[in-house]
Amino acid sequence: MNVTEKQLTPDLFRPAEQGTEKSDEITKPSISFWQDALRRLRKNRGAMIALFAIIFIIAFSFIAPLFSKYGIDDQELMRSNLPPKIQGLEKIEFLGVNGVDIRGTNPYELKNVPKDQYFWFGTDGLGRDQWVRVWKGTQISLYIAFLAAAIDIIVGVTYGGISAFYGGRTDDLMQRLVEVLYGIPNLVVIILFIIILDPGILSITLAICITGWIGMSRIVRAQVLKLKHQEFVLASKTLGAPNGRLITKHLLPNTLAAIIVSATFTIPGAIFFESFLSFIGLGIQPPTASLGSLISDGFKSLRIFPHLALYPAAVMCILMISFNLIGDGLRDALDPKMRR
Amino acid sequence: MEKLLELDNLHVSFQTYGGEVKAVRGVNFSLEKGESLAIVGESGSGKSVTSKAIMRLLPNKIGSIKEGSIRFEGKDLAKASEREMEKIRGAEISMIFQDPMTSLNPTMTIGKQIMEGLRKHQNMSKSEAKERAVNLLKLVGIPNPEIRVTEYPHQFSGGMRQRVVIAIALACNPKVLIADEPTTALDVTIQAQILDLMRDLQDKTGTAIILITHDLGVVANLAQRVAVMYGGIIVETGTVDEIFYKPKHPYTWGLLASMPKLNAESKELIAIPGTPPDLMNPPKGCPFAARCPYAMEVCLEHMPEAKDVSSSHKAACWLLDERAPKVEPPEAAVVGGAQ
Amino acid sequence: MLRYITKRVFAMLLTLLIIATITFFLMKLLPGSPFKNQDKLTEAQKYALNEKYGLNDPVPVQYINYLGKLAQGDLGLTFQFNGRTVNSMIVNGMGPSATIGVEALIFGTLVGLIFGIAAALKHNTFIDYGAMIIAVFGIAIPSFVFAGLLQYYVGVKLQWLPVAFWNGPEYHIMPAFSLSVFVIATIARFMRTEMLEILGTDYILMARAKGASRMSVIIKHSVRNSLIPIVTILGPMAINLITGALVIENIFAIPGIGEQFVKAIQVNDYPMIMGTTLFYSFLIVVIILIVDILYGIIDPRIRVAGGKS
Repeated sequence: MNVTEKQLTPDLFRPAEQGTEKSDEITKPSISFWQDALRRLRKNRGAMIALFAIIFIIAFSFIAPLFSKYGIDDQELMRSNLPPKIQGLEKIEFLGVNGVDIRGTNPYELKNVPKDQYFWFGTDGLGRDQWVRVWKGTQISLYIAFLAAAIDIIVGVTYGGISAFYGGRTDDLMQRLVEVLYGIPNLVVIILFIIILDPGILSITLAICITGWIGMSRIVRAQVLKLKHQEFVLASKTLGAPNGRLITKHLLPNTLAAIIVSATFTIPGAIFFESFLSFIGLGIQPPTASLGSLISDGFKSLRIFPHLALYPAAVMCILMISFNLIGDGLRDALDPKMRR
Repeated sequence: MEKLLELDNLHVSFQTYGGEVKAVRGVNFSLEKGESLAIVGESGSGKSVTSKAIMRLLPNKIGSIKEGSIRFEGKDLAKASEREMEKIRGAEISMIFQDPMTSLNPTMTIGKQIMEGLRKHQNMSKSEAKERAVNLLKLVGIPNPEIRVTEYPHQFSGGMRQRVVIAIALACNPKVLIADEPTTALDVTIQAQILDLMRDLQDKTGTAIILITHDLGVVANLAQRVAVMYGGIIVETGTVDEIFYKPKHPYTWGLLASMPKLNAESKELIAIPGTPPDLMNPPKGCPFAARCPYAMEVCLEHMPEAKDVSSSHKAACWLLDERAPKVEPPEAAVVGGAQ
Repeated sequence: MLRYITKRVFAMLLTLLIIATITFFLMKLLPGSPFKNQDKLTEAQKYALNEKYGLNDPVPVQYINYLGKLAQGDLGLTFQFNGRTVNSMIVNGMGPSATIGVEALIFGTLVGLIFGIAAALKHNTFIDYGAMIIAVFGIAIPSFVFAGLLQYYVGVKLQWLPVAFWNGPEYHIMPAFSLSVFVIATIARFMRTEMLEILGTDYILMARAKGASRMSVIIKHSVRNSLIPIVTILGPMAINLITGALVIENIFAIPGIGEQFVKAIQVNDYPMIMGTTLFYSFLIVVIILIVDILYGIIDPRIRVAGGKS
């Protein structure tokens, strides 16, 4: 509008050389669903920090016990209940890792522990190195959690998938069973199950899975039911694709996102239940330790030897928060509409 | 005649992750008392944004009026405070939204939703407001209004809901009613009923109407004047007859050509090739140049100014310049006996 | 609606019967006798004890007897104290358990709602991020781990609040707060999502177009409508509260059902374990039923449709 008449020369009024295709051009390269999800996940700072925290803790739970010459069950009553002491950091008062306990005494001197002997996380009531126990305990907790998630996926996906894929009477029958099971509080089932089986890594894992797979199966069923009637699946079916192809090419890949998200939340859930069981006396039995059993034991002497509970509690909190953050991040990345 | 509402050089922008989207880039129009004006354009042309800007209902942090004024009875709404706007919304200017299925609160009775505005603007008592609500429902042609006033939105059909929305909008006898695609989400038969109702109500109440639509059929039914919007600017305005029978802008030709006709020999619909411009980087020149079959070099470089065709008819196109070659509108755009 | 409720009540009774049956037979499978620790007992005395608790009858007879008593609400005698019924133990423990549970629920819901609403209204600001970080912590950290840390820092180190026991209102604060953290987090997150969704709907725009003030739009339209689906998460939340309370009562030495239950597990008090398990199941199943019915009542969309949910 601010064009003065002088600027407009008559030759400007010739037809312009341009094709209409120009405005139809797609300028951005196309990216696949998974690339897009990965890009979104990468942008989620919380989830990325959480991912590194988890990788670090997993790696450390295997490497760290090597730094100590003691095993998980090497008892020595002469050096029981030592507070944490870390070389180099012992001069810094407020870190509380100078070998002095909360009453101000130094049990390292009182108990004639050799000068060059350091217990980074202190020792427990039987003189076992807490450092080794915490990291081995982390291994056990993670083992239970991943095993539980794996079993949930296998059972849940199979059950939910079959139920939805075949539909009709099969679906009806299978869903009646799920409804009954779903009504039973998992807390009750898990406690009863452990009382019968005796606490152990496998029995705890199974107890967690006994109701855990139901959630997964419901998610998978809902997804498959939804997909089954979508045009691209119907099209593939009309073209004569066998069931195997339908499942592996269409149904499974499109359900995968929901499965991954659900499984990510199963892991902190399993860690929670494992520690819950430890607290009510049905957890991992000594000499084996898990994060839950260490925290539970530690709480019993919290007032005198806080270090016994605080270190495993810290590791557990980081793990739980990280898995939750990753779960949230994955959910937002894989299905922005599923935000809750 | 007295100008009720006057928009002058209105600019509206949205802040997005990708940058600033200039959705409205200098819109001018005016509305007289009791008049009905249609704003026509395809999606993304800025017509809905213009209407939300008048109501000052742009999404909070991201959308804002960058420049220009919205004069309503002498007052500039672009600079009005939220509190002042609350007094104007519903009482002086009200709005009907596109989808009646989502524009009513699902957990509130119809009556309460009609009464909300009445109680706020006219200080009515509960019983007075309720009586008025029943009368309004009767006015918009809902049977058994005494009963239906206590029912919830999901108990109404789509057409009935749009009637309720109209009743809510008209509750306080506003001077301007903005109808943002009021019939788009409805079945064709219901569309006609709603348009009849709106025309009927306008006769009764004398409310001025701004009708936002992409459907020229709707325009012919209801409006007296038409503004054609494209790429955030108004490319042509005029009376309904001028736009339908003497269109000057190639985009208007395209719109008319793509309209289905009853008497045409060819059953084929003609589409305008290409897509609307990217308003994050709007073109320097005419926004329609990239799709315009008559585009000249000047169109790509300079924004055309609105030129008077007649006292009521304006178009912003370089073809109207005396230096430009004479171009006749294509045959398909000639409305013989338009519906 | 009535048909729906009847159907649900029957389903609930079936679930309870299944739980009762599973509990009973699992307990029968358990190795060892509850009196195994009392070595000094003679065979005759053991026989007499078994007789007293009905452990000498054939299993099916025991099962029928058990179900019969259960139908009358009789959970049997505990092994721990001579002649005391499980019912009386549960009734005794109810007081403190229900108190901290309800306190946690009320406090948590209120704080959670405030956090959630504030986060939604101040979407993508410091307040929003802060509330959501707190929420992730609250959801991730088990309430009993949080309780232990609270007990150590606030009770032992700072000595602001009593470390344990149950002797007055100040003894409620730490346990109830620990329990409420999960409630706060869940409700805050849920409320935020709901509010954001509703604030973006056309009917909010419509309400504003009517001239409704910001406050009135927030309270009358958005908060009101967001509260309705909150009811659906009350069920899972109650379960979490019960689970958490089990352990938290032990940490703070509160004489509630949870503490008794853990003790019963440790001394193989079968009737008490079975009784408490059934009590918990009953509680949870009933809560979920009430929540479902409540949802049907408060949401007009479901209410009129006749409870199709």
